[in-house]
Amino acid sequence: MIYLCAISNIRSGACREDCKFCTQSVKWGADIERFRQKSIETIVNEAKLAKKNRASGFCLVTSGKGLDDKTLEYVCRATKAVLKEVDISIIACNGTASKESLKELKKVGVKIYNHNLETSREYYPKICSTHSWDERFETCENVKSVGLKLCSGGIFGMGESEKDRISLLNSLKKLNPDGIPINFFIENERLPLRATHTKDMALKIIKTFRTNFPDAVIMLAGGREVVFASEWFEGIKAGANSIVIGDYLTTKGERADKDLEILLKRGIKVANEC
Amino acid sequence: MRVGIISDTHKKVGRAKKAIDLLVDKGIEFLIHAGDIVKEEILEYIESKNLRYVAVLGNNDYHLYSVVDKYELVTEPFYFKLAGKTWKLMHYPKYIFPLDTDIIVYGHTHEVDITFNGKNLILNPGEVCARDTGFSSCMTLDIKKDKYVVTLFYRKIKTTEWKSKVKEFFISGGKE
Repeated sequence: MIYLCAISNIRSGACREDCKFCTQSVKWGADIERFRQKSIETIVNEAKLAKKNRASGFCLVTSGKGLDDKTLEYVCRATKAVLKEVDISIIACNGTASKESLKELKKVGVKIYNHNLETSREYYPKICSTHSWDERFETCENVKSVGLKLCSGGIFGMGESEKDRISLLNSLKKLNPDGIPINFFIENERLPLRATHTKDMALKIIKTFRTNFPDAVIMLAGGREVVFASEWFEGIKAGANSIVIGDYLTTKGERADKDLEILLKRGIKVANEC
Repeated sequence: MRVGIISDTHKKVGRAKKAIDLLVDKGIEFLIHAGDIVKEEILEYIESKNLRYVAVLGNNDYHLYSVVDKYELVTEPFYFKLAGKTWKLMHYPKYIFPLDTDIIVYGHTHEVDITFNGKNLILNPGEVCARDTGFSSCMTLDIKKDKYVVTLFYRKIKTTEWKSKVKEFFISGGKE
């Protein structure tokens, strides 16, 4: 059984943080589309399309450090509008968040909150200087504390060591997330990092995570095309049971209908709910 | 119920006594030592407080195997029940997983860890001996009907003032 998840980048760019992997940071000046708020109508239409492509999760992502009052109001409005017309699980991905804000999201129907630890606690200062890994961890704790499902994983191939990957895995084990996105770093000429992932490394990561999280939804997320090209199904065979379909935040993904065709052709069942 | 937690006292008997005194002052009803006790004197001091306690043997405690009958010493991982909760106590963090009890206490790393994932509370009180950080630390855990309150106490060595940080976690998710 495979879970499909679609992403909607509802606020793009203009982030003041300096995460070295992220094209949305103003610091790197990457050539991406930037907008303050996507219209609610567009978001609802994207959700309808995601549902058509058999996605069970629809992720509302906002750029920026965290869930401030304005962002919260906007995400709540978007969630309500989508749920009124589309039967899909809403995943919110809006950065660091307090328990109070998360409770508001839960109230309007958000089911899952995505907040990745990204990498190990030890390596994180080399990736970002504007906020701490501990803050990220605390948000994940808040998510679990208010009774939302937690989706938390990382980005691999950012120059981290094997030890860092194990450290991240152990931190995630403490949080016991329901879903774990495994992303592979996507290079951009304006970003200061260069990708250090290989296909073998990617397969090893997926296998290790599956062994350690037998019950979690392990999602082959950003960068799957970069690492696996058309052979991404190997990632599924290695233990992933979810993929992001359609586009990522600022990069193009495979065409959703093409992915779906590959899955159905192999007789894989697609989950209706996550 | 209020439980006191200390770990990694090593040879610092004076620092251990100060931490134990503080926790007793805070009204703990039970004391947990997460290993690397090193000095038997520390166990004697805990005994003198007439406290219920348990101490797990760490990697620097092999010499204490000869006195296991004299004190409440256990080997890891040690499972027990207290205050209506299931506990797992260890020195080495490798026994943290699987997350199979309500509360998991470990030591060894000399680093404070206060993690709650909505179900399991994972605690490491840091180091009493202040070897790595220059701070002697210990903690109390209040187990209430609907929440855990963890208070971390820390003191810069060669000073007398204990500072504290509090973290609260609501046990029944969403009903806060």
